[in-house]
Amino acid sequence: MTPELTYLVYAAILLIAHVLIQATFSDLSKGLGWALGPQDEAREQNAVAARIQRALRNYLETLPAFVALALVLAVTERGNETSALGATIWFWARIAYVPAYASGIPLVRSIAWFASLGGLCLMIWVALTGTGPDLLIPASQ
Amino acid sequence: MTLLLAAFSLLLLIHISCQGLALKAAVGNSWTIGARDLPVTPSPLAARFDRALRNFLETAPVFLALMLAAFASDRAEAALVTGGAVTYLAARAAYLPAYAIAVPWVRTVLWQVATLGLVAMLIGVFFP
Repeated sequence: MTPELTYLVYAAILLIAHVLIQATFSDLSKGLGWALGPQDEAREQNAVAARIQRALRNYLETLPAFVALALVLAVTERGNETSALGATIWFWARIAYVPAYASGIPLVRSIAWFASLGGLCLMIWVALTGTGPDLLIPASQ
Repeated sequence: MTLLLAAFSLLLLIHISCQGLALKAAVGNSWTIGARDLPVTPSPLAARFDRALRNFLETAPVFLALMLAAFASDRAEAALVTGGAVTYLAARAAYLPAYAIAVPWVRTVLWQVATLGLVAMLIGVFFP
């Protein structure tokens, strides 16, 4: 398995962790009795729960790009040290993003986000310019 | 086909950049780099870019799933699959400025065209 695909599995684990953390903070903030019900009437959540919810939504914005790039680099076999570094930076920056957002410290979250964007750009660069056998599956049958 | 996946990634980053930059232009950097605890009212343009991004994210996983299915089933080069993928990406790319300039109907038609591209991919993958 390529390093990018390994990080793709990690990204799925991070997604599950993200959802669980968000749900825990949100449910505790809004009340478990309300959370277990149909949630028909809206309830306010506290500031930290709202930040974690925004962090999850932000994660979901760039996750599809990472999935696509990890697949491209695997299928074309163009992946190299640079794209593996990009996947590493993206993943760890996305992890750092969560406490950075929850803490509410200005700027740290933005820096983590831009670092993750830099990781994606490394992967795009390699996907478009890298060399590999480009084993495109022939249109068989 | 893999070029289309790279193009998809770029298109998503362009959506995010438009949304983020329009929001920064509307509400200022001090809010965007903070914890964003207090809601702000974005400009109409920033709100449109935000809705365009949300809309793109609704069908993007379907596109990825179909591309993955196409590669896994050796049908990545089938005409319906490549044609559908190009149609999807082209229409989604046009959707963004169409939303921003707010011409009635154009955006809606582009959404339909993009979704028909997904349907073509679906047929190409599962009904060879």
